[in-house]
Amino acid sequence: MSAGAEIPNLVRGRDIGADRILDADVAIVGSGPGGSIAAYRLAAAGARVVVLEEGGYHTRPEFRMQEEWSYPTLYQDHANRATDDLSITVLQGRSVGGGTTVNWTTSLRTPPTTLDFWKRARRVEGVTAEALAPHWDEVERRLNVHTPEEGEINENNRALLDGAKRLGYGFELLPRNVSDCVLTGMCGLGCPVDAKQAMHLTYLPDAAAHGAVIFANCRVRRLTRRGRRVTEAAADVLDESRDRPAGPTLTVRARTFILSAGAINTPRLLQRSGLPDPYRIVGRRTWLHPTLASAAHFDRKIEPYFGAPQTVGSHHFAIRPGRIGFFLETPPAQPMLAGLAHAGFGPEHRRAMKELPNTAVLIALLIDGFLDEEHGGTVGERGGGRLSFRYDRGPALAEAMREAMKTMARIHLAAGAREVVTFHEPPLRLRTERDVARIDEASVAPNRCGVFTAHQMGGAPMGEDPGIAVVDSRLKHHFFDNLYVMDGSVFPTSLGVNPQISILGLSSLAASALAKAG
Amino acid sequence: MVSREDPVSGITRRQLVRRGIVGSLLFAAAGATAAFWWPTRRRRPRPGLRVLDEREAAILSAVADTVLAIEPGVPSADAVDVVGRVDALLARSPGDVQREFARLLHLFENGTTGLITATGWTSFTAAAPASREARLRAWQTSRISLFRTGFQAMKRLCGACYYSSPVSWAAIGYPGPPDLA
Ligand SMILES: Cc1cc2nc3c(=O)[nH]c(=O)nc-3n(C[C@H](O)[C@H](O)[C@H](O)COP(=O)(O)OP(=O)(O)OC[C@H]3O[C@@H](n4cnc5c(N)ncnc54)[C@H](O)[C@@H]3O)c2cc1C
Repeated sequence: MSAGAEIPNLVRGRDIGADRILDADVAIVGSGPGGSIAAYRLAAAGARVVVLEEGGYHTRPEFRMQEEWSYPTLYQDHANRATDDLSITVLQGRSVGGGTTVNWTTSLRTPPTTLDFWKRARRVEGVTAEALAPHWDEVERRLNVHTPEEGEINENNRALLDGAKRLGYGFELLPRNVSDCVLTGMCGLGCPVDAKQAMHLTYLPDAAAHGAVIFANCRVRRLTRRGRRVTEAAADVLDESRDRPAGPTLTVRARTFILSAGAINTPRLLQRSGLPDPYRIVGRRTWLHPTLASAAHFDRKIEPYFGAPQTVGSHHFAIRPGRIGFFLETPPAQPMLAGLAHAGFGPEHRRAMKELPNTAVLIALLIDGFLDEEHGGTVGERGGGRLSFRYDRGPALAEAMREAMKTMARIHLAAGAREVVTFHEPPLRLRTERDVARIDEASVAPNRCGVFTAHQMGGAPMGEDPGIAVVDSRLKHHFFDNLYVMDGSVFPTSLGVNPQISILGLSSLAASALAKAG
Repeated sequence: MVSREDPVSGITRRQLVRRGIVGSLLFAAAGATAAFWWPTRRRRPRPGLRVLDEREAAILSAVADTVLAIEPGVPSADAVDVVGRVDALLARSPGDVQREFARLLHLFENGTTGLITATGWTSFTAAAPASREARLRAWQTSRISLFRTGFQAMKRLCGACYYSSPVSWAAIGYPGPPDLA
């Protein structure tokens, strides 16, 4: 276990008393996996790197496994981010380390089928499993990615394993990026023992050891350009307690700029900066792995809030030709997340909450972005400079939502659940296969059925055709010589697996090439 | 798929046009209502709160009790200070969000909305428990998407703010985080 030492060269907003102007070789916006590994690669190659992060710097002593502290502190919009109509809840990290500080540790490489699709349909060149392999090997070593032991599977995950086995569905044990994990189950709240190998414990200190300087509580407002070059990034220093600009500003002039603010925020920053977008593609085709949930009550204790989340998964339904595929995982369920997510109100909601100790939960993540009819999410602005985010729903999505919910119900019933409770408004209670058919009749209109996302992707996609891609296959902006995007927003479609390893591998590949080019 | 409604929006296009108009009328109504309750400048926040005024706090507290099904033996929404917790979240949110949420509360409270949803003319806070449930149910499943959005906003905030408090845990059998000492 790491000693929990502070990252050297880290400056907090409260330590910046007056306006500051800095010069650097490379300025990176955002300290999630994309920004952190880029910072490390470039700093190790000798560049003077500055990282600007709008979130705070939070570490183990603060991670006391309390949802009431973690969600407002470590998530975008205090964990209230959603589509404009609130029909999709958007869970997205916001602190030093980005999503890796709060994510659920599943560590999978990009499926070859996804890489092939990008090459064929989106003109992505050179982003192959072979090119990525050495980067993935190194990342997996640094983050101690390994497959959990049989004994680390909690009852919640066991239900998925048992149900899938009984129904003959394929399933697998999911690798995790942890060292000496003590199975608290609190990954989503910041790891209380520094077992999770998040960026603030790995690539950020590595980058700092090579001289990178990391600024927390600094929100980049806009980029300034001259001709084909970006010249500076202007940031507001935030007062963390009020989450408002504290007064001072921080301006970074650099030779190279890398945007790693994550999907939604990177495209929004490009828009806000007024950078040219002749084909109107920035912020469009944002993918979410729209996620459905299903709860099941058992006659025994499940305690879905304890034990490693997502040790078992199933990709059995990932490829459904002509339809939207989905994969299945098992989330952690502490009371606040359950209270927010459970459908219904009044006695039915209370009853679901009282069953929490006996509840198993499944999620189905829809693999969006591969069908012609899909448009995905659109990032923009509404009044007062506020983010606007909408997600387009077509018939294929509705079909996949229903299939995914039926599949989850079947798995839990096969695993011995007494009843399955859906996230429809109002929820359905299902006890038999005949009941499962009721899912076909229930509305999946916006806000009639809970949808979540913890995987934001796209909005500044890569590819060689500037008509459909914002950056090229080396992640350089098509219209700027010194502007790069290295984060989840470059994916042309969703991935079909949890994103962190894909982001780390791809950013590592691109940052290494950039470092070599000098 | 046997559903008769449009899988995407849940309603037909003609209905959508009509509801779009109803929807904006409602926003206008909410605005008018708000103007009535806050003549020119906003009331002051209730003592101890930073955003919500006396009336908004009362509406929210009534909504929370209904959403959370307070029954004998479980802590009330006030015991968990749901209102204070929502207020603290609002205090850190942009002004537009604060105003929209206040507007939503007034719209929900308003008897006119009760008439539109056929759940009675009385204001929400003055209504009996059964009629409060009916009002929430009408919003939860309404064909007007604005109401469904409003229901979700209230339900999620109440659910999250209540169950994140250690005070609520005993009643649902959550033992609290493990002791790592
Ligand atoms: C609850 C949860 C569970 C997850 N579980 C898993 C999992 O098990 N496995 C997996 O692979 N993935 C998981 N993910 C997803 C994964 O963590 C993200 O896909 C990944 O972190 C995205 O990386 P990124 O570099 O694109 O952006 P992010 O990690 O989102 O980082 C972007 C950073 O930029 C900062 N930023 C944004 N705008 C600005 C600005 N204007 N100025 C300065 N800074 C800015 C943000 O605060 C943020 O810290 C999970 C995510 C969540 C929320």
